[in-house]
Amino acid sequence: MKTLVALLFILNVSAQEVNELSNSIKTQPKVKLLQEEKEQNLMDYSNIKSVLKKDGLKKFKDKKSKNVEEIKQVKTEIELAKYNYPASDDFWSFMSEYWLVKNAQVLQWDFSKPKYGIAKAFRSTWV
Amino acid sequence: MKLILLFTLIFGSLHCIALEKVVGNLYFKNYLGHLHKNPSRGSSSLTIIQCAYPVKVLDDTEKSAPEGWVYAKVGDDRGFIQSGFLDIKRPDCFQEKYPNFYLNLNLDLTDMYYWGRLNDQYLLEESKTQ
Repeated sequence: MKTLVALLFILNVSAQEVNELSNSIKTQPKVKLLQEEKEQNLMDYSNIKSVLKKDGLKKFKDKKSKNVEEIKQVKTEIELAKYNYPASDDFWSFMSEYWLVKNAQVLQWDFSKPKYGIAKAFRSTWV
Repeated sequence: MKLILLFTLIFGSLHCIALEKVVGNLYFKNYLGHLHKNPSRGSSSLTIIQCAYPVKVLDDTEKSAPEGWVYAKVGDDRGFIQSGFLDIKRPDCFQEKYPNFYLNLNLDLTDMYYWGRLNDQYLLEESKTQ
């Protein structure tokens, strides 16, 4: 019986202590925040967005992408030009020479000509 | 004996360097051509030169070029080229303008040789009429 009474007493005391402790926590004054913490809490991300817009990054990005497009276009044109065929002026003069070259051994035009003064006479006609 | 040989070699090379001097860097402007052994159209070819190939014009006390010719260095070879075939600016070459067309011709060394020879046959002169 004595033990039971003692147990009840102890339980009652501990319940009281718990209640007191919880009350003290509720009424405890707030911890003072640091300046940095305040700034962090006050940070407004929409402001940053507007600042980023103002610093011309978007403009720079647009300009760069435009440049890339231009370079791509020029490169494509160059690549396509590689497959071009010569125009008639270039083509016929080139092919005439090509025919002479391919038939050089048959036509036998490659020999040292005697100097009849043709070059000199030819030059004098232009003076 | 070795020392004498070494000295002769060094002296010989120095003598060659002293004799020739690079007086200009030009580009070959014809489609194909030759570096000639002597300053004449019929002279044998030392090497074939393609359009836009860089040519070093030399001034050599021992090898003077006649009018219309220059003494030049192409790669390791030294010989003569007609001055009319050279240009200060890098020319727009047929090979570069139509590379695919040119590659499809499949020109071999003999063709290139004859093409160079053909260019040597031409008499080039600019009109002076205004």
